[in-house]
Amino acid sequence: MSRPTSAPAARRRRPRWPAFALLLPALLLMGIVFAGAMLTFARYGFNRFVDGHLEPAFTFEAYTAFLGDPYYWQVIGRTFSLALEVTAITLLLAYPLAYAIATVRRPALRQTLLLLTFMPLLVSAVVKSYAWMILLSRQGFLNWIVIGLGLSEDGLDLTLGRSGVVIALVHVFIPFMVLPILGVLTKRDPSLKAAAHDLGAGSLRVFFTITLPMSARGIASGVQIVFTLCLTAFTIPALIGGGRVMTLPTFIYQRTLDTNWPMAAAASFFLMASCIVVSMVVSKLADRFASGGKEQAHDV
Amino acid sequence: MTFRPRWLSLAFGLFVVAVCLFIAVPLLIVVLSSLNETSYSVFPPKGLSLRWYENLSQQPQFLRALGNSVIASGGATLLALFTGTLAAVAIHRYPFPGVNALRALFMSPMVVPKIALGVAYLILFSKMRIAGGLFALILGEAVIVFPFVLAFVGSALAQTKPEYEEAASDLGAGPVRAFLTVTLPQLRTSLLLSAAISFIFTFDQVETALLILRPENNTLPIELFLYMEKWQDPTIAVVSTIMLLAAVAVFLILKVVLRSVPDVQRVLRAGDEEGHDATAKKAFRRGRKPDRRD
Repeated sequence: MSRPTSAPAARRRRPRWPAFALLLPALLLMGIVFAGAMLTFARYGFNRFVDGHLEPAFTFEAYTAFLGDPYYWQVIGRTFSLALEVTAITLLLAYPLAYAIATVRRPALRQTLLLLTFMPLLVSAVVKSYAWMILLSRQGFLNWIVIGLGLSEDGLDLTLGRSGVVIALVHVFIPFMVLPILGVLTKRDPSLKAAAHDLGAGSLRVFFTITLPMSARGIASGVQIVFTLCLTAFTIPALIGGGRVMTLPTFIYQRTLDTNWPMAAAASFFLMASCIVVSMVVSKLADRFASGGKEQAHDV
Repeated sequence: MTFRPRWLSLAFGLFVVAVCLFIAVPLLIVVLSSLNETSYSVFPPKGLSLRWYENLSQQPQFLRALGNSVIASGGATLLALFTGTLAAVAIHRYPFPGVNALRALFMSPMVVPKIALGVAYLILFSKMRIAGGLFALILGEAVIVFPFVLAFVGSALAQTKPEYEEAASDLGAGPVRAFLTVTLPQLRTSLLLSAAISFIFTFDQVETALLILRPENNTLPIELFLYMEKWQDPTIAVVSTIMLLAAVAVFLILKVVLRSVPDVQRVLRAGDEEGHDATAKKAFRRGRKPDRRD
């Protein structure tokens, strides 16, 4: 290898083979395992599934069956409405928490809040599912409170239903929403807020005209992450829903167990496309909202 | 955290406390119900006992599952670190045509739903005749965390100066020695962080492991998942409590380790004047992301 004396010259004279040698392990892993798996799976989407077994073919039958059946659209609709609901509630709970972490003055309190928010990331989703199953069960903590307050005689059963799934998903996704919002809130310029206060704006007005628009990008990242995580969530709908809350991931899992791989492929690629489209739409909305926010901030 | 008018501060404070309770209470209830005397979960507990902890010793499958989990996550982490670091060096130090397309391919596992990847692995590994074993799981999970390693190590490499390496080679070191003695020590922090994140992330993989593993190779989350589908006695609470305590331990260890690395201290201070926490670093990194799009 040549001994370069200056950096740009060195880069021009560097041979190509070291790059290839360094990339080889990654190319093997990603080429064979990742690309190989995805391409094989995509190919199986065009096979035919008749009477419980697979037949090699090249047909769009699985896709037309998936997109043409109202039952599957119910599953799709349920997956999206669940994701929308969970994302909205998560944002509602996570934003104030992120705001508190960003603005609280006592370091000890901030440490506690950070620990509380992010430590659960280390806890398995299966453990959290179990936590909610016993908390929401007929003899669980929630019903102990509900009955204790006299709101209901024999309590509610929230397990194995949609509301249980929503509550548990919100619980799991809060840190993913707090993280990006906290990122933009700690960066934001406190002098702008002080200036608005000095000009006589109340806290609520400062919040809605300055803080909220300026955190639009953090909110957008959080919404992107949580919405797509929610569309693809499997463990919680499978365990807490107990097979009764059929979303796209649980649907894919069951078709896979039936060895109906073409249908699993159609649903999987539909799910993947949905996630990409959702991310793009949210980015576009955030761009518009954030630029609008900047103008507003200058007006105050 | 003070607002005008005053009642607003109070309302805000109460709301945040409620959110914190929402986060913490379910996990505390798990610990409490592991000490429950009855064979079903009931609140408040009918009596406290350690009998479910004793019962766990008669269930060796959980210990075996823990061993499998450590092997699978450890293997996947090492494989992703090895392939990811070398690829990051290639991308940042030896630019070549088509590098952006390659990087896009390398990052794309992040947009594939885990359940879809699980089915795809099941089909591929069955064809390769390695389905069911831990080796297949290691390969599959390495793919999932590969993008994290590439991103973390790549951004650290972009901050190190190639001039140091060139100085080393001017002084007679070969490229391998220059990399090992000059570049690698500078990547210490990002390697540590990506190893920690990879290990934690792969440890909790349900979708892929559930579909490709044979029962005797089940990892801990899978063993719990399958047990929970059938029974709900406090054995699950006991295993969950032990996993919770392990998570707290990991959190504290990470905090101490990351605090002792000077690099992290510097980055933390840049991100947040008062934070000395590992999470602040993550927040800082994540927060920077939208900026690049500006």
